[in-house]
Amino acid sequence: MATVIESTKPAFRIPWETFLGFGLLLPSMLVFLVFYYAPAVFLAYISFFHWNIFASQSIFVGLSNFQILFKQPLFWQSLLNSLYYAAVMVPASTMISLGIALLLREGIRFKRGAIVRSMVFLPHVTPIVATSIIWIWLFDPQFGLLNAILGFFHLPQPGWLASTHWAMPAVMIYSLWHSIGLYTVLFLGALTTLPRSVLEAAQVDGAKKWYLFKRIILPLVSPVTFFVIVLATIDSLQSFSQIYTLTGGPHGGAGGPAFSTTTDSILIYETAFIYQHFSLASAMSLMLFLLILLLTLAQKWIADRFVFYR
Amino acid sequence: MSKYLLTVLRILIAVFFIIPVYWTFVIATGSRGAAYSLPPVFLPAFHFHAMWVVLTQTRWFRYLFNSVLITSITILSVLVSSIAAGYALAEVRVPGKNLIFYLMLGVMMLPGQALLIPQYVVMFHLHLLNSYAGLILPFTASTSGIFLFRQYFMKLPKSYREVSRVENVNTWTYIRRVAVPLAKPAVATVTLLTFISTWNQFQWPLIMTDTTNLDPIELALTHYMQTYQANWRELTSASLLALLPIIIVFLFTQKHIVAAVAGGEQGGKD
Amino acid sequence: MDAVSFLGVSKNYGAQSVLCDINFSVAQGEFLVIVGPSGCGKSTILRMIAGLDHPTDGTILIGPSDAKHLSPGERNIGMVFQNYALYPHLSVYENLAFAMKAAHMPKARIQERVCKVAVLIQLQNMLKKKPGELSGGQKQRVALGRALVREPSIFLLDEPLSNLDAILREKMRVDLRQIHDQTQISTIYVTHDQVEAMTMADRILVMQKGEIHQIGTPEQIYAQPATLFVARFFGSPAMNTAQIILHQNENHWILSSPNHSQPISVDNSKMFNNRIHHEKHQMNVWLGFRPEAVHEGTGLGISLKVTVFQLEKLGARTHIHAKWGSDTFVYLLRHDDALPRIGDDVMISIPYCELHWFDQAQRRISLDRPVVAGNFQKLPVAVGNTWEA
Repeated sequence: MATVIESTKPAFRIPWETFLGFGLLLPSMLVFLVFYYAPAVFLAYISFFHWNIFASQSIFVGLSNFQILFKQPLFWQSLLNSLYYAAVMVPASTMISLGIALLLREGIRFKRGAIVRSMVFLPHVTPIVATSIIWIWLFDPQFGLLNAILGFFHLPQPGWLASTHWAMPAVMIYSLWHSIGLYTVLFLGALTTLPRSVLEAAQVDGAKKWYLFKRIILPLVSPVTFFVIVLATIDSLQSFSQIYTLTGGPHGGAGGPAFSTTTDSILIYETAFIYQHFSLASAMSLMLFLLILLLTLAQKWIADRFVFYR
Repeated sequence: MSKYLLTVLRILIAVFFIIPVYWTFVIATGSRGAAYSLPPVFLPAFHFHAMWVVLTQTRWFRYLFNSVLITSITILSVLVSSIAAGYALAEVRVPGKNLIFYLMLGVMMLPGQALLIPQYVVMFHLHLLNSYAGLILPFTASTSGIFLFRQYFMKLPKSYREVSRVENVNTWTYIRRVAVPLAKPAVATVTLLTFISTWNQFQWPLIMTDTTNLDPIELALTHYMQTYQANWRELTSASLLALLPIIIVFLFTQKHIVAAVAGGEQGGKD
Repeated sequence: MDAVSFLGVSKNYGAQSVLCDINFSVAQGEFLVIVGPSGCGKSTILRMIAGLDHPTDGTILIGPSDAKHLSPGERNIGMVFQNYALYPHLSVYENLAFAMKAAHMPKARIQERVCKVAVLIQLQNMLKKKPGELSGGQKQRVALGRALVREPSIFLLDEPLSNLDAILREKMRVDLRQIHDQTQISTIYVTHDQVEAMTMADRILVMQKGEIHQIGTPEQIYAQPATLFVARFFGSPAMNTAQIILHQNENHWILSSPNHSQPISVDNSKMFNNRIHHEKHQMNVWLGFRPEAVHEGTGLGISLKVTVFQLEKLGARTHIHAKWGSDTFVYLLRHDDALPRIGDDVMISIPYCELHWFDQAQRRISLDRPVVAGNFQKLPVAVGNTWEA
């Protein structure tokens, strides 16, 4: 029965395993390095140059890109627009999605509840341009469904996307419609994992609903709340597609009317790809990068103090 | 009373989220001029002429081909790269694994909008602008895909791999025949999420191409917006056609998608 | 030539030593059982033979070749894991055929081999089922079959029966031994169950804390345990042990307990003749005797007065638990013997030839040979008596 195995192979077992590991990791690492990390490093570099990518010439200009940028009123307005957008979107989407999740929580174990959840989630998976088209029509001041309903209740009918005051809220309504499903599902996930015993114990204690919410549910879902807030912040500061489409990007007028919806993402896009001013656009990108980084760090700092991790 | 009120509230919420999709269908299949009627018409008329026009008199199939090509190659590449990297992180002893792990996590933290300019420059220098490769390559690796597969592979008993080693089965065969079949839910999740994100891609092709030949449907819709300025039936027909694949896939897999997004097992039970 | 040899093998995980200077070999066609409590390093030995672990020091020979140069797949080993490790998504047939398919063996040959093994493990009509549909015993058989189907030259089993219930375990013991007798494959079987070791092994290797206590046939292990640990590990109920002071006064032996004042009477006419080479003519030892060696009454070898405190009636026999001072002993009575009552004082005696003696280091000593007291070294590797010589 004995098998005689004559082997002359040297034992290089551990290097072989390393070799295999790196081989398996290589495709992903290459993509990440070339298309994400290299550009991230590159960004800091080109912000300090006057740069013409097509001619491949660059002159070091130090901080002058930033000096030009800070003198542009439009830059400050886009920053304000972005902050306005984020300041409304982050609390609104967090609170509304938590509210919907609480409303759906009890029914979720039944078939009908699950259907409602899927309906709330559906918009999040729809392509933005395809659904923006119908929303443009819903927002139509004259023939749109929205104003028809407002008219039915004898409420004022704003000009929505055509108005400098209402264009931004219109974009926000669309964005809420598109993003709330995700946050709702995240909250629902947290709510269904709440220990039933905790809630029941509180109810037995005769706790009022509001008290229950404030003292029990809110602290227990706080990790997800933090996650949703971070996600919503990063998301709203980077919104592009819906603003581009809803405010007339295909017709060359993204960010209108009268720059009322020109956020940082829109301005970066137009500066670089409409006006071919790459250096200025990358200086703006760097600012946006730092802004998001700072906000995330600040939120982390706050969360470490207030989030209750189980 | 309050129970009634809650039910009504739930229905209203469901209606709010679903009505734009329904409305797309109403306008797209309504009769001519129905979009402009006051008060609005609430029921579809099932006229598919506008859709027929979009399908036959425009380059719809070219855009569809682009979308299908880009999406399917991206899904395949993401699966292969995520399975490979996930396996390496879960099962293979690699020096510096922690660093690699954080490097992959870091990609999720980079703000995409801030990277577009340097990414464009990189794509320019790699001669990838206006090419299918440029639309696909940057999305062939996925951090969440890698982590999902890593998680699944780590759950497999160590003895599975050990048996195959004793039986002289090589790593590649083991991954293909044992590890991946046992991680089928991860394959489904990664496929679905990659399908949705790739099919819905808009800004990247908008920036990285300037020829309509490469446009996926989502980008092509903006051309339709220019062409059919006030022709709402044709325009909504086009967007309905773009929506359809997503909606069909969602209808059949919603539980799985919701569970995958929520990251818990709650979607699987009901 | 031996199937497997360990030459001075040690294994450390960092500062922690798992195996220390292990030497043994397995003959061709032999059934060796490695037995010991959990954490004694017995599974590590198995994994090193399979190539899944590597020794820190020393050499392992697989047949004639140094295992260092062989990958696990090149060692021609069949291995059965404790959790079976059957691939749940493959049918029984596919599980059995998996490795051969991966090696691109012709289909007809795969089928022939699988069918042959299926007959051997009695699962011919289960081939299409998935592991999830099988009972524990059937899964066990598939795991065996998968290891056998490759026609290995060494067969490794890692606690294969520990997940089965008692009845199945008894049946599988017999079946496993039968499969070994049919195939004559050199087998190394790891278990923590002394009954499995006694019933199945050609030879038993007893381990504790990374060291080998004894290697020998089941008979040797039982009759002449090399250490106190081995003595207590085998047999059920376990061997009775007590600390004893041996004192020699001219030609008289006086035995007493260091822990209490209960007397032992010694029939000196039948006691050993040797002298203790110690100025006080006295030494502390461990005394051991098996429950089945105990007789009620006086007269043989040594006699003790014990107090019965518990009876366990097992049908054919009764286990009597009794106290001798602070020591507790167990002995057996047949069902038709007159049983004592709880609280009774009973005289028991054990023949001289049934006594086992161990020194302070818990090594076996023979009082028939000269005894050197007070010289207690580290536990040596006790190799089973005549077998190795």
